[in-house]
Amino acid sequence: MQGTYIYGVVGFPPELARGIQGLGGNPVRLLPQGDVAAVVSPSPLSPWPLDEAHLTLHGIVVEEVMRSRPILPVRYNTLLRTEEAVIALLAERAQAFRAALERVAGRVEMGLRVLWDPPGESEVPAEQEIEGGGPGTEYLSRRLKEEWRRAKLLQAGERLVQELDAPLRSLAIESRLQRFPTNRFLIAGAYLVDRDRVDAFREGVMKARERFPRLRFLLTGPWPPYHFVNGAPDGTVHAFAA
Amino acid sequence: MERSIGAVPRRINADPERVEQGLAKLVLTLIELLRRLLEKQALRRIEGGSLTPEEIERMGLTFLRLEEKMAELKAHFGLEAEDLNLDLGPLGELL
Repeated sequence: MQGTYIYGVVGFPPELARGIQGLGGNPVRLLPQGDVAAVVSPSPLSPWPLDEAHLTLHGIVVEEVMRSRPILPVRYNTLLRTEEAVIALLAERAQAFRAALERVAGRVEMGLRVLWDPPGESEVPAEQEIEGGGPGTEYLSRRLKEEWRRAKLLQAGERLVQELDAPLRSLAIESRLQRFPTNRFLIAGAYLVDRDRVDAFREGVMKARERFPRLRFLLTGPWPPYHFVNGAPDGTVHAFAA
Repeated sequence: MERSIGAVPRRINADPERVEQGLAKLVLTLIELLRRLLEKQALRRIEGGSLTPEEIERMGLTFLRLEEKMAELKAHFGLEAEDLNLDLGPLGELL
């Protein structure tokens, strides 16, 4: 049975200027509803494989469309049973989509990950030690110390994150940051940047590299605004890593 | 209105060993969550000074044994510490 695969949502008109090939070699087209449209192609209803080739193809379709207009990218493997279902979805969320399209117009996403070497062992204060006892007490004493060290780590890291983020925030419109996704990662995040400020943003990261030579910066982009489709004004998310 | 299907891609794997491991992963993740919560609670009580040394020792032994048991179970199912987690989408990860 045939369904509909969605790559993203755009404003409408205009129509797509040139043909784009989608997953499975199927043609990509716009399915309009009022002044928004879904970027779709026909597709079998079973999910597509999770491999680089297919993920890349999805990304290419999004980027091709983005060359001519703003797009709200949709997650890989979003399938609806019928075109009517797509249209109903567009009608239901038209206002939200329009607002989001305005927010991302002329803007791109820059991805940033920062790695650090967590600070070494510092002296654990006496209150964190439990006197005497057997293996059970030793175990809990050890856990208390670990907890204390983790808290210190987060404290030190948080200061760093603020110092890093402040100048970059000023070069961007919005950011979505995840703090301490793992112990080695300080931040994993995305910044929404005006197209004509991308070079300035890159320079901002270069400056950060110079200021913090012991951190490693992985900057990617420009990407379509994958992380900015939803309108949370401050998208910071704390990782709950224990 | 029709609902979207397959927004979160999943490979359908009918291999019985994989299915068992998948269940083990889920169960052990939840046990791990509980274990951490209980441990945190215990540590708070110790800091609060409301426990006797005997109570601390007894509790510690229980947690120690629990940790050892978890290690055994993980090894039995071929799971690493990093495998025990649940992606809650917009809510982040469980652990």
